[in-house]
Amino acid sequence: MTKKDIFINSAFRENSVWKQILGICSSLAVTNLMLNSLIMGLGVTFSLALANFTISALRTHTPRSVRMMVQTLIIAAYVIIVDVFLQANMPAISKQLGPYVGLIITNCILMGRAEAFAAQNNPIDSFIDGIGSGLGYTLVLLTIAAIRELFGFGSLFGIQILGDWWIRWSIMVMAPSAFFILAIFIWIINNKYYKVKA
Amino acid sequence: MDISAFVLFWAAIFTSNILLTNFLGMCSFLSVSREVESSFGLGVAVIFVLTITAGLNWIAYHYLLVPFQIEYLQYIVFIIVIAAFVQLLELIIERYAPALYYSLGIFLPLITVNCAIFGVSLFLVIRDYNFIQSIAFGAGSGIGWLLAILMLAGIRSKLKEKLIPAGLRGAGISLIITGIMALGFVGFSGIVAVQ
Amino acid sequence: MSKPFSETPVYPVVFMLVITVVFVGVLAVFYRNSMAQIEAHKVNEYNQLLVELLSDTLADSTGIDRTMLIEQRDETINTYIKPLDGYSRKAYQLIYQDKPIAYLFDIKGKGLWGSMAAMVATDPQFNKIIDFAVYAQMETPGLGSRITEAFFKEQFRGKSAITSGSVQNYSLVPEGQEELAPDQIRQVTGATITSNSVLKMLADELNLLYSESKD
Repeated sequence: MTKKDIFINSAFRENSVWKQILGICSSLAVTNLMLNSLIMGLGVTFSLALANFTISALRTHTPRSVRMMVQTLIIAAYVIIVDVFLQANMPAISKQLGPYVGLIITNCILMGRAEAFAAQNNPIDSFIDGIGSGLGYTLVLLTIAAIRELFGFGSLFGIQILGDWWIRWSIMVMAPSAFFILAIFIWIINNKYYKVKA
Repeated sequence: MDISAFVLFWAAIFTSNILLTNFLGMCSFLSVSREVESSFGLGVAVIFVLTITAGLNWIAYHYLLVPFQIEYLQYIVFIIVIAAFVQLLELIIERYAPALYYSLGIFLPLITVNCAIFGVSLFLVIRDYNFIQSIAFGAGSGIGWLLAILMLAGIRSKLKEKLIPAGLRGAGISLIITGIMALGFVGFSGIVAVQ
Repeated sequence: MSKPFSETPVYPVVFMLVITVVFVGVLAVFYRNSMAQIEAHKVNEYNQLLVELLSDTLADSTGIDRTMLIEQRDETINTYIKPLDGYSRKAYQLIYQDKPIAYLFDIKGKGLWGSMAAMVATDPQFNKIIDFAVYAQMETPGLGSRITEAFFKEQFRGKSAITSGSVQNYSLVPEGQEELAPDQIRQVTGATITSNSVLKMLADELNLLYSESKD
């Protein structure tokens, strides 16, 4: 596959959220605001690409019996490095990302891609797959967040769109709403993109 | 902490259900719930891992991280303990229950990053539980998770696939059902204080 | 013929150890290097908040413009704010003309996701809360974390701290409620647990500090 194919595949055709159903926990927690979703998405993309690259580079040397522990260690290390880097150089952004560090380490997407792609492919391809999967995930997150923030707070990215006349939908502020929005989103994708027939 | 371990156990199953109240542990929950058999198998595995890693991580935190003042390595230590334990479990299941091993597929290693397990370990540190409370909380959370996945698997097995629009089958309808269950569990909130 | 090292049973253990040492080592080095910068940021924000919470009281007493006091933060701290001993929490006193006109305490509590730390400024008799702000928390962004927003924390200004020897009890009302009784606080919508944690932290800490002040 060409590099471009790998990217398109990981971002769209085999999208982590709507096709593989991974990364759901964070999709529920951070999609209350678009800004949170963007930061989380970028954090995941970055960590995923680096972790994929490293895991792939070590794949021929990693014994099967400690495979998962090695993957977990590498993923956790990169996520914490990203977090510490932000804390030192971009403290305002780090304050937003802080509580999510734990969520990135356990984001099934990272482990899922490590097992499914990085363990069998070369480092460069794995890096691209990581970027693609991460951006595909970010796209889904931003879509859900756009709806939740607009109807729940009346704003987008913190900019107030709907005035005081708008009565906020409390359910949009709570996590269960993300379930319903994601389900409908998957429904639309299945019909339009994959053209699933009855 | 003044909550009895017994109360904590029940609270973790119902009023603070790790999945339907705290929304942790979704990925394997949605995918494996297609069959009741494998759901039960995965659920039992999760209970096992949760209870034991809750205990192990409590010990690791209070006897390793705190005395040496390396609490910032907490994330790494916890996830390594969980990963090591799941790796061990995988070897055991492959040897003694190969049918379960194949039906679980990738979701067995994914227990490692099941946010529910990591989340429980983080919670017991934040809420300052003692050892017995941690074990009770871990076991209760595991049973709560099993309860949730069995509920979803049961509902899905009774659904007539033909009546669901093609695009919603599988993930879509599971999300909607889970969303409704979660809304139902909101009714439990505030009954028992877990900290 | 002996097996290559990579197939001996001890190889996985060795591999794991090496990888762990390498990555944890890199992490530790990175962390130590960044610690100075992270500390500097934290101290900056802490001092900023410290001055902001006490600036109104100071401005009223000294007649100096509030914004200037905040801008010349370090000078303000050196001149007017001194440490306060005798409490189990970090405490400061605002001194003007050799008399303390306000106390400020660094208090701690437990939130939903993690611990939280806040500053509460009171008059020296613990009658009223002068100002209050949470400066460290791990609550859900967009929900619980909104306790750091102005609408929430400014409610505490001027509220009673200790009345007749014990802490004033407060109750939560919905965020949108217009009318408020003196013992009511507007919560953050969708973040009842976090809002309650704030009230509990204030109540527990003020009780503790008040009993310590009488010793």
